[in-house]
Amino acid sequence: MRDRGRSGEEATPRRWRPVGAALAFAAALVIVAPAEAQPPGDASPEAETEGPAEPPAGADAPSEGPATDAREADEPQDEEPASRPSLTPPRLLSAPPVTLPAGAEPLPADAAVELVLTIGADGRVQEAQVLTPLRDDVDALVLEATAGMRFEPAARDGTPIPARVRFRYRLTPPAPPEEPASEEATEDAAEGAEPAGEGAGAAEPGASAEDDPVSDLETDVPSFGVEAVGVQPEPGAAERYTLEGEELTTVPGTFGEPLRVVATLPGVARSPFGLGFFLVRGANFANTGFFVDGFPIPILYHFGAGPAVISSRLVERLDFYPGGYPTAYGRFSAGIVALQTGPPPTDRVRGEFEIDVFRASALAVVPFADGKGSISAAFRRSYYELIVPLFVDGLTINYTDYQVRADYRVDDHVRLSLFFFGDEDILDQRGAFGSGTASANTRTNTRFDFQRVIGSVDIRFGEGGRLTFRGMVGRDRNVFENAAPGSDPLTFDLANVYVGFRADAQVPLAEWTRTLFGFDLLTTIFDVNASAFTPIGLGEYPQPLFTPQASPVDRSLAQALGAFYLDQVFDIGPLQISAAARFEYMRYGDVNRVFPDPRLVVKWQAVPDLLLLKAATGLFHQPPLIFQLVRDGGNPALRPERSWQSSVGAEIGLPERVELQLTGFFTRFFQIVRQVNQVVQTPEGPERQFFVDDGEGRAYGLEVLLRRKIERGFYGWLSYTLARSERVEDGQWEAFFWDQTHTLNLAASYAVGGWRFGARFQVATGRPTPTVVNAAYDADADIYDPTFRDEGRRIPTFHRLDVRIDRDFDLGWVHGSIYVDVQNVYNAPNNEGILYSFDYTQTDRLPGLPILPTLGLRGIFE
Amino acid sequence: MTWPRRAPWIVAMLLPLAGCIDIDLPSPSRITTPRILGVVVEPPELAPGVDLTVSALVLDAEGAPLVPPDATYVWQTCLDAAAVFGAADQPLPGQGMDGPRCVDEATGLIVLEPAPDQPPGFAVLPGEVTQELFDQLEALLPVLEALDPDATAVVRTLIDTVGLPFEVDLFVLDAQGEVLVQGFKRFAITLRDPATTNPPDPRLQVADVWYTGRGVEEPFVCVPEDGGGIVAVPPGAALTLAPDEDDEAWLETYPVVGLDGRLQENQETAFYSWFRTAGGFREDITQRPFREEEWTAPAEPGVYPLVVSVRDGHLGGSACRFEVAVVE
Repeated sequence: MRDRGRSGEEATPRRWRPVGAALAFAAALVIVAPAEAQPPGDASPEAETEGPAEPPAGADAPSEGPATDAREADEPQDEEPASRPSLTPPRLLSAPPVTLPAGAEPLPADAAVELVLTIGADGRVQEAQVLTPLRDDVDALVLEATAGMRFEPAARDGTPIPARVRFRYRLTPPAPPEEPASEEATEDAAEGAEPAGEGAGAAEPGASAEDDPVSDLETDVPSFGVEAVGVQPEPGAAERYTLEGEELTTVPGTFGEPLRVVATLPGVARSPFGLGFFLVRGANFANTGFFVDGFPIPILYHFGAGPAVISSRLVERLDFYPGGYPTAYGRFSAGIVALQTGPPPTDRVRGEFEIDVFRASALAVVPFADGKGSISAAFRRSYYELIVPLFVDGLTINYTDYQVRADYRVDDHVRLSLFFFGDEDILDQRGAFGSGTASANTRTNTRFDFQRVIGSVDIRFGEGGRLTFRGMVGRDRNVFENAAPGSDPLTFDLANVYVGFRADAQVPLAEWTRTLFGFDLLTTIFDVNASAFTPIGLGEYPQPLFTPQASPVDRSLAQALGAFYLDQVFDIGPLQISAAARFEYMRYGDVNRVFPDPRLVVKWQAVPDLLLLKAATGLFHQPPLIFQLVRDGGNPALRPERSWQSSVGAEIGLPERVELQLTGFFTRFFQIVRQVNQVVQTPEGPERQFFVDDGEGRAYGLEVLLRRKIERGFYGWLSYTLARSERVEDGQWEAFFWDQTHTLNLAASYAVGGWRFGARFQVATGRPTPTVVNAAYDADADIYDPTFRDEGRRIPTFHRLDVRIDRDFDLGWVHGSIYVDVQNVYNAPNNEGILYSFDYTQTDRLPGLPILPTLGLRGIFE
Repeated sequence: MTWPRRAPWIVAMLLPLAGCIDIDLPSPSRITTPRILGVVVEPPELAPGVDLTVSALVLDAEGAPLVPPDATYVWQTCLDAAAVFGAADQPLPGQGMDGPRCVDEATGLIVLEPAPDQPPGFAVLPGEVTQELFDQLEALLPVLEALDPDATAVVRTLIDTVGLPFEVDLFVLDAQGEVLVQGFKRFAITLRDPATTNPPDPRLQVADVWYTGRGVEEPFVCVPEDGGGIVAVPPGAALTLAPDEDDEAWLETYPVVGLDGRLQENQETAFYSWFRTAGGFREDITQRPFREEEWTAPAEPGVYPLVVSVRDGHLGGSACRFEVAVVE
């Protein structure tokens, strides 16, 4: 959603206020304002203070401040209670210096970072956020400095109270490089630190996007946590949700894993057992792709409801596109989850660790070349194997991930990075359900590992021009093994080698138009080595036990994918039109052709900063999964799956930093690969086929996001998705296996006095489940063969509450937080499915995850 | 509806993720209601024009044989074209081998007649009817060819080699004509020679006594070979039930269409399904190399029926009911 700028806030008509209050019900449900909460508008002309919790209705941060800005003065003050004469604003007593490393980029004149500080009754800064950033490295330094600031606390009637101020940290530019000016700069910085407002009119941002060659501010996306800043070409995105900032690590139910927040966003149906794959807008799991720096990765999350395969500290930004993603991406017929990686704060040597019940991780950062470069390394290992055997015999789950990253800033215009990361996941199960010798000798083993190296060159030029080159090499290995007594062991060993290259360019042609274009190449060599069973049907018949006889398969396949994309963006007054196309060349199996994907996105700022209307439509192609293309048992002629995605929506700015986004979507799926079992005649003789590409589907629904941006330690959002997903089965439209009518997530978190309390509640309609109307004994398989009927039945509605409490600590040599995160706090007996007795006359439930608490510790050494 | 067929697979994949699962569902090896425990078609693979004889082992809730005249056996079959062709190609799509069984007259229902000179419950599908089924299939080939010119060749190849699957349905009715249990059994029509056969009646060792169903007049019954009494064990004793290892000489090979579309030879495997009315089993189904079963005798003295149903994994089967005494 478009962030409301100052001009928008003062333009907020008074009639919005009750509406805003009503729509902010989500926040009202969870906010517990302190008793001494300052009434809105209790601002001091000395410092931009305000009450510790309650924001002024209908106003954003600037309106809370003094009338030092003419636009802020327009805010109707008569609605606010009169200022209390007994209120004393906080006053800065001391601030640590900010030392710019030698060789750092020069700062512009009057450089400053505008902050929002929450100052406790003890005069210490409890929370700091960047309101107006200057530059990443400088912002980081200033944020760190806030920890050492000391204030004379705000007071009411002489009693110290917590307060929140807008604070402008002014920096004096360092001397020219030839002068040893670090000390001077440090001194100046310290002197320059002053509360905003002490110098009238000093609240203007110190650096605009245009001034800064490495930060083209883009604010038309909703973000969770800190403000969204787009740094990538963004051609033709219909919707995008961006996750940034440390606050995300405090979302309840994620066990501190910010990237799992995606599961709570609009358009995402609930995945069983919290699997790390998403059901987005009625599509199947495999239709939503995961990208790291523009290149696909096979999995984003570890097994066992684990964290992401990349440390969140190395993730600069996560963009989630539930549909209508930009042409820079492709090859998935539903949504995209795209990670943009970056180094953690690199101002000094630092180490971090995190440990909880399930895993431990560490991260180290070492800067070099006077801060122009840094090397980061991270490692994480789970120890489920120490815990799971206590509860489940024979089950082993563990994962490891590791990352090494080097970044170097050549000058103001050129940045280089090299990122190596890898992952290993193991799921090993010995013994089957049941008991006895045969069960005990059954073993299923799944292993997954991958590595990637991504090199990047980022060049800025002109006014907003940008050129990025990225190259990638990588490998995957996916092994599945199954061994059971009396049966040939089955193995599926897939080893892939990837080489990718992409170039993305953004060229501003005029104020009203810009061109985004690039190409995206990806070549993959798949090596399939399998001992696979021959599916029944052609000479084989059902047997009492699954003891297939294996057939060896040893094949190598090549897949070459190349795309060129072009997006012309027109900004015509309040209207923005993005006319784009991606031309996808696909070569695999028997397919060798170009698939054009035209896309159109239109946005109309109907009411400036208050109401944005948008519409999008486009085509998307996705190549089949590789095992579907293997000539032995697959079908190399499968065409790519195709979807036609369309959406219309509105983004509405509301008071209280509340935003509302409504999106209606309709997606048609074509050429869905479905399973068959047949023999076909080919010129080379008969071939057996198990996949054809004639499946069809459709999905439609409404998405709602009501979000309260983070402010004064509070953030929260409510997302709701009403959806219907269907597939054609035997000529009829039927509910898709994973169809979920309603999905609602409510998340909120509030920080006060070094504590943070959060909760997340989720409700989701159960997926469809058929009704058994009869069961006949199959005398060959020694099982009962049920006859199902679709009577609209579903598994029971899922609901779950997660809570989380964080407590910050600072021992001087280490600071961090300790947290308790409890999933399913009231132990809701959710169902993930229905289990039937052997003759289908009785049922039991497949239970979901029970209450699952964890205790974690996170520390930072500096 | 086709997607539910995949549901068991998905549920199976998710089961390990459920962690501690406390599933309280009855064991399939425990007989508590009338059950069909074995169906034999003789021969399991046949050429058109050959007689097909069917029989079944059906027990009541106490484990006693449920046979005519206490119960009525209704056997029927039909040409289920969708199921037959679905196994070969897609002109009649979406059914595969799990297509609708013969449930109404519209499917060309053929009710089997009681088999002459056979025990009650046996039925026969005369050779002229199996030929008629085959002829009906042949008559559909032009329709198939119009949909897919290559499909006819595929079907003919399958008839000549691996065979095409048919089904015979069994309904066991009570005295009021209500269906007590129902089941089905596959057989194949093929021109291949030789076709596979059924395993012989079971032979197994119970403790140190050999039980056999061979040479026993009553169908589906195993008795001690030496003509002596049945095995007796104390309450709670563990009793080993061991199928005759050497008896697996009846396992045969059969052709299948491999992953590459070519014919390959597969080997039959012996499966032993065990049933009881009381006591406990270590496994529900055993197979080599762990073919032995262990039955834990119940605490209450009495004579208890046990059942073993043998399958070769390729349409062939045999079964028998035998008894063990639990004595103080």
